[in-house]
Amino acid sequence: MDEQKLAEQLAKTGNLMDLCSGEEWLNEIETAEDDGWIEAGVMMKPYVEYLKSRTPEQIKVQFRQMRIQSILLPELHNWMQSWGLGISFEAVHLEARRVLRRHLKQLTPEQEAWLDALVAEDDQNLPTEERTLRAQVVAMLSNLFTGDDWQTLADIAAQDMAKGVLQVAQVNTIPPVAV
Amino acid sequence: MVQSLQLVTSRGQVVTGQIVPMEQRHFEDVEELWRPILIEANQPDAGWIWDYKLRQSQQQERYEAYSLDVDGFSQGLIFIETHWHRSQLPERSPLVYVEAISSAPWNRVDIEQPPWLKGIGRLLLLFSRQRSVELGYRGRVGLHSLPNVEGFYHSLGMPDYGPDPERDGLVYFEYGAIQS
Repeated sequence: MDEQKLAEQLAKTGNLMDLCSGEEWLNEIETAEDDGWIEAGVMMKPYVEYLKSRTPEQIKVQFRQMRIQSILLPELHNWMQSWGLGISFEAVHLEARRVLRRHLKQLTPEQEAWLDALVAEDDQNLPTEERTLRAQVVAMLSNLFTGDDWQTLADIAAQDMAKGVLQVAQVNTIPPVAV
Repeated sequence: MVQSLQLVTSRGQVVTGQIVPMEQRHFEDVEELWRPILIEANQPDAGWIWDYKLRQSQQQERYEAYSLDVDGFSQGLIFIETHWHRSQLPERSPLVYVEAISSAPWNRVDIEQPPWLKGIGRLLLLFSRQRSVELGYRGRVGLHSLPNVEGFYHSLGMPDYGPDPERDGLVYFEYGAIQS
């Protein structure tokens, strides 16, 4: 992406990120000869050394988890948006992600196989209405969460809501008026 | 409103990403997905910096940390300093300095073949130039590339000012002002 193009975009919309969609952009990133290493900054050295020390098996495990969570996390987010959490959404969502990740470390072989099938379905790039396994994710998540998990989420929702209300009270406290 | 950006997966799917301020959940993405084996193996912390950088960005205005989110979690991170750094050119103009930039492990050729997502570095670097424009620095951005990554920054047309003895000999790159 040359400087001329950037200058034209700034003149046009003032926003360089408007260039990051559409056929021309997608073609640019697909055809770029780019091995994916982008790290800059002295503090990134340990991370790069860590990556270079990984075995193929370790990498395979990480990649599989990424694929699984790239399906489960958006479904979790969308499902939770229907819970009516309001200002406590972020706090409850953060905890729900932690709960999900804890469960993903303790699955049965049948559950692991189901998740592998879910990823395989995702690889087929089917229209949404044909993704029968993905349509079952919310039900799976609902069954995965235990009674204690639901109580934890409810407690966090209540605490965060209470904090929000009390903050409103502090902001809106009106000093007494002398008469 | 957060802007949607496009990337392509190795399966040929076009996916939508968003660059958002880094939050606690992004740090947890890094801990859970980018480097879990270190934790499992009880290895000493490899000088991991993102929790510290998250706190810095929340406490000091001159630091900003952003995540490139795709499908609900972080695929790339960038940490910039916006007040104190100056161009290494004689004019010494202010610029955005990239303190750290990185991509998730599976987005590189020698770790996952083919890499899962392409375009992470381009997006984050372009974003840093946009921040530079918004701050009045006209798109000036500086950074020190790690060894063997210089080719990436050369491919983006970023001028190279040679090894910097004050930064362990890492090569310094700097984009100048975007000329209208």
